[in-house]
Amino acid sequence: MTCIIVDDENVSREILNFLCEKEPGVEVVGNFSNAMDAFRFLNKEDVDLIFLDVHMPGFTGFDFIQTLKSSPYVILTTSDQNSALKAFEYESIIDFLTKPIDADRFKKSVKKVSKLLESGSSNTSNPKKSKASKNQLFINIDKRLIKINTDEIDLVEASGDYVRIKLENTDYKVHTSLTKLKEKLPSDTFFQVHRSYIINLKKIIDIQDNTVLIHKSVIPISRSKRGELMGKLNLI
Amino acid sequence: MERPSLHYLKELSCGNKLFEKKILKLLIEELPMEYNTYQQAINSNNYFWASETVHRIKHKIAFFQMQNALNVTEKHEFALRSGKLNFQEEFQDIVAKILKFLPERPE
Repeated sequence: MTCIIVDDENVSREILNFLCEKEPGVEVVGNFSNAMDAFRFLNKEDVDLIFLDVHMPGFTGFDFIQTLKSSPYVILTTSDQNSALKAFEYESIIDFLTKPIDADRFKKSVKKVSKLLESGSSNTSNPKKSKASKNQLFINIDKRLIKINTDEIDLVEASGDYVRIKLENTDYKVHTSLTKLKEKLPSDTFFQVHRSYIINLKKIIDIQDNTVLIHKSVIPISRSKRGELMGKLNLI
Repeated sequence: MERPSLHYLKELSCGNKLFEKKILKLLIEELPMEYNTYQQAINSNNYFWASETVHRIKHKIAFFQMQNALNVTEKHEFALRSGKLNFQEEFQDIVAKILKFLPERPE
């Protein structure tokens, strides 16, 4: 079983490393003091398990899980037992360990994950996101992960190798494709009206001929998309 | 009166002196720095920043198996998040006790 440790505290990481070293069959393949570095690693490598601190500066462990396209199994580490209640919302969270971590409790947690892996139910091959995940988006801007509620997005516009995510008062330029971003948006709220535009249906002000007005932006509607768009609206 | 204990570390290490040394070294280095950060935050009236630092120090207090001290620290952390300084003196006493204990730790 391969695992990574994500915790901003050195002592916590050292303790987890020590416990993992003593545990047969557990291999620590990465240690990260911040979510960003862990995120970059997981974009390239698969692991079976993450030991994840709930409380990290600027970014909780729960936020981190939601950024992952497919999350491995997670054991949360926390000093706050109330986090356990929130953990139930996330299918990838198998257990939580209260700090300071008890060695026997650690072993039981690892055994849980071990059994799941032996039974062939690897979480990375059957990814399940939390219920809340599609209502939030995390975008990578200047080495920061910024959280956006999808409800606040007016529209998305393709711009070369980038997309522009337009909110009422802000604009974000993100290095990705419209197709990839579309996968992360709730399909009942967002619709691609044109090869270069995805709109938030809830933000439509009016539709005239082959254009739709979203806030102050006039967006073209492809002929091929018009019928489908009309079908999605609550027309009288 | 509650005193810092290394019982948790001894139990965890199962006699591994190298590990014990590594952890103690981190504690000796980090706790004074974190406490300085806390004081800076308090002096600049940034109570949120102070609460974040107390949160980090709290884990170290838990490490020394001081349950009452941990409860008080948690109360101070929550007070700071509400913009208040309740339990500040008690918290400062707790940290002072641990800082005094660390260089004199039993071998």
